[in-house]
Amino acid sequence: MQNRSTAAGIRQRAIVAIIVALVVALAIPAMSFAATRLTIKVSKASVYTNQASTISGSVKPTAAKKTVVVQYKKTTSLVWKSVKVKTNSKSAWKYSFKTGTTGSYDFRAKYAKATSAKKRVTVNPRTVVMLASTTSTQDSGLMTVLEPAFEKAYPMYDIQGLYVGSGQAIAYGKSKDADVLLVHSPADEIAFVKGGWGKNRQPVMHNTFMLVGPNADPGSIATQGSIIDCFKKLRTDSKEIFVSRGDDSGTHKKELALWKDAGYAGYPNPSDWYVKSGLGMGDCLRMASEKNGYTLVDRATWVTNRPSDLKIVQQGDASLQNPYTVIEVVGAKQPAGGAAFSTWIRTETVQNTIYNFGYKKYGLHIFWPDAD
Amino acid sequence: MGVYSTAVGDALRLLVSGSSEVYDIIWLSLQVSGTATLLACLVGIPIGYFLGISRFAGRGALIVLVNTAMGLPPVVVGLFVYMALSRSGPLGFMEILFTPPAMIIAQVMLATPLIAGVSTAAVASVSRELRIQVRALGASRLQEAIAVLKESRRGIFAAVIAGFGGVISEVGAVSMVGGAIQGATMVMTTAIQFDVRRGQFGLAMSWAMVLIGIVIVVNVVLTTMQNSGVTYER
Repeated sequence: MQNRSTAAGIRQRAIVAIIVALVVALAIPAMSFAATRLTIKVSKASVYTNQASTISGSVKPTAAKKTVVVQYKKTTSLVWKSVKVKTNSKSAWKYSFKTGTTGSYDFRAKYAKATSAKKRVTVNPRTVVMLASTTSTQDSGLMTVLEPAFEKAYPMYDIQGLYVGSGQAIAYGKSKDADVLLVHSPADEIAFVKGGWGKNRQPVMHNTFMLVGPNADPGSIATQGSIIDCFKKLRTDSKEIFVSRGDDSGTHKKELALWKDAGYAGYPNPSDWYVKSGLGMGDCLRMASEKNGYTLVDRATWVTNRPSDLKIVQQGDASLQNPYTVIEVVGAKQPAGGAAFSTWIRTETVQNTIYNFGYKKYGLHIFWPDAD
Repeated sequence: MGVYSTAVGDALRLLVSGSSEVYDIIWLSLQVSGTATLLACLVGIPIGYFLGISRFAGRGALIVLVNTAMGLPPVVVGLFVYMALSRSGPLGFMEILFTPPAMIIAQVMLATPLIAGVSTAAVASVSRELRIQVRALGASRLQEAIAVLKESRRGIFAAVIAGFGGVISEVGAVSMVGGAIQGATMVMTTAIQFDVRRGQFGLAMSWAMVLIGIVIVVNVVLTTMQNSGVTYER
């Protein structure tokens, strides 16, 4: 009997101890929560999804560090973009800050509304502006710099780039799937504007084309006087492989013009020596390297993608200029966005950015600004 | 072989890099291809069931049609969808070109024939006696269908695996209708294409390994589901 009652007493005490422990375990965070008062101030009540907004927060009493969780609510479930948040979590973002400090946070939650206990930030959806441009502007890395810069200057716009050949980019303009074009195919551009599909064609920048070939230059092309002579020699010998883009891109169009200048009516027929690759510039360059052949390349792709077994055979001729222009699409979905991009890319600041692009990394200028 | 083992290491580094861009691309690939496969199942399995059990004039022709559609190149499907969704096309008013929904539409069109074709074969291989027996026991049409699909579930799962594998690894359709926009419609396959184009072969290889790894994981899950409940048959 004695034993049993002792056992019962121990059990009772154990239960009480567990309950006390539970209460304490629950109460400590609850108390600290109650004692820690969060005040969050938001500099702007309404921001665009990629606009930085300052959130200043203070925590009382002085907690060394506190993670503040601010949740956002979706304002629309129209498209999947609604849940796209550039944060560590989809449903909430965390910004940890120290007492008394001020932090800023990029609201990249599209179609979202950020809320907190004290303040609410409406995150406005950005207008998507479609830019159709050429692979050379993306592959060189220029657009990786320009896209965010444009969005910073115009927070209401989300620029989305389609990087294809100039032929396809202009086709996107004709079908009005793009709002603004940044292309380099002068004859097609003029026809595009004349045909009423585009307006406000403005020079942005240029780089140059060059003829590149194997380091050993087996066709002795480099010793020719001018680029025209190089093309003549390539065609009369018909021995050395020439890799053509063959995709109606700006570079391909330039190549056609050079064959014409060399006195030929059109392209050589695809044959053992003349390869119509149908590929983008980087791929085409690699094909030339693999096949030990020659190709016409734009400077941007050459500088950023140079295969070590190829060298510049001919460059510097005035006819090898490669001008890029910006054209607004007539009847575009977002004409204002397209116009904003067109104006922006021709501003002095951006023109300087273009001029300096790549210089640090490659020691060479890749694009030269052309806007007035 | 060094390139390949390096790529596997790089792929792992890519996965643990914590870069939200990487996760976004993986997540978008899974979302687009997963949704497309799901929708394709909803359409394809009933078609497969219908073609598998019914006997009517023109059934052979329909099966040929489905089997032909199974072989449609993604780029052709992409082109069709692009022409329809372009702002100058008949469905341009929807304004979904170059968005994930457009990519899903294209992939549904790719996966549906695959799933329908393989499930037709699976359903057709279920013995007629089963259906007769089930009907004799008083089953409704729906109950009969459930019984037949249960019986042929291995084949149906094979169809789903084929459909998912087909769409997550295709590049032609997603790049045509999605546009491979960085941060918006870039998926794993178009990321590989983009990295190759700008000469980042190492990165392209790691993406390739990530893609293969994810397909393996998904297939392990699906195959496990396929083989579960085997005892039912005995």
